[in-house]
Amino acid sequence: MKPGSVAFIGDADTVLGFRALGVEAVVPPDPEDAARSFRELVSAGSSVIIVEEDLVEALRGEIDAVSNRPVPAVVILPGVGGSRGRGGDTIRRQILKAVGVDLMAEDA
Amino acid sequence: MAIQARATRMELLHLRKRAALARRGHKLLKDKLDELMRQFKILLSEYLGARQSLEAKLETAYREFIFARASMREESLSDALRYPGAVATVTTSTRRVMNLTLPVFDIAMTGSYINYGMFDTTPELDRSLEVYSEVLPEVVRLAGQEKAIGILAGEIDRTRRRVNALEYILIPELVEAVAAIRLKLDEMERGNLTRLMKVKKMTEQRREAADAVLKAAAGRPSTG
Repeated sequence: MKPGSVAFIGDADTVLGFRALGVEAVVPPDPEDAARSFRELVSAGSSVIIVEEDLVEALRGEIDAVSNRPVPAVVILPGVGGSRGRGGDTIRRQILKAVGVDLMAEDA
Repeated sequence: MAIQARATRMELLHLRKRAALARRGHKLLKDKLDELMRQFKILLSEYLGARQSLEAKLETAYREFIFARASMREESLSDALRYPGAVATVTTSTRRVMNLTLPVFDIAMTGSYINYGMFDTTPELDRSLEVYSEVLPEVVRLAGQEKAIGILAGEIDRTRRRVNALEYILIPELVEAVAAIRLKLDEMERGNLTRLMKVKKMTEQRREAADAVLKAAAGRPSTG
């Protein structure tokens, strides 16, 4: 299958280390810019797009738009500022919607 | 809203056929839902806890990196990381679960991430990059898992809506319409029967009256 790239959208401190590993690092100066870079990454065929937690709200529409497609996969990870648990929340909401029961409640 | 149909035998047959089809569809969809749930549970059992452990690892990676950063001058750090020596590529293959296509990601890192001189950099940087390179494949795996869970969750939701729509709306409506037509047809049948009986009685009475007249005429002696 065709190879794709990994991209990370986040602030400079978070992204820099991953850049050394060959991850495409995107540091958007403002939210609109983040949305644009996200769309560019999608159309460029990135397989995995890592989004820093703080940008999730700004990218909500874009993330939802690709959520039913097989690629790209979007992962929400905490930045250097520490975790606020938003990544887990997103997946948890999806599970709740599907099952109607919070299956992840015991390990929260 | 109930289904409006003319009370004819043809319509009855047609509606009965539709009800049977709806029941079969309902059964199939319910089976699909069960299987989706089973797959979902398998995925979930693999996934549970993966994110927490990854986030913990990521935190140590960030901490290492902050140490590395603190131990170096700003310019030499950005110089060292300006041109990445490694390339991370993700090959995506797909896996089918029911009617869904789920991605399977496989990451390959080529080249060395240590692509800078020893002179300007500190061992902390090496160490932090090592931690990063351990974390990255896990991130990619998590991406695949979360994607699969998301896709499956969406499909389960959709399928359940369909099952419920059939079970609680369409099938009851069809059954009700069939029953209504049956009642009407039966009523018409009874109406017909009583009408026939009535007609028969009337013709009999008429014939008896005519017979009586004839008999009376035959009994009287002719005066002609």
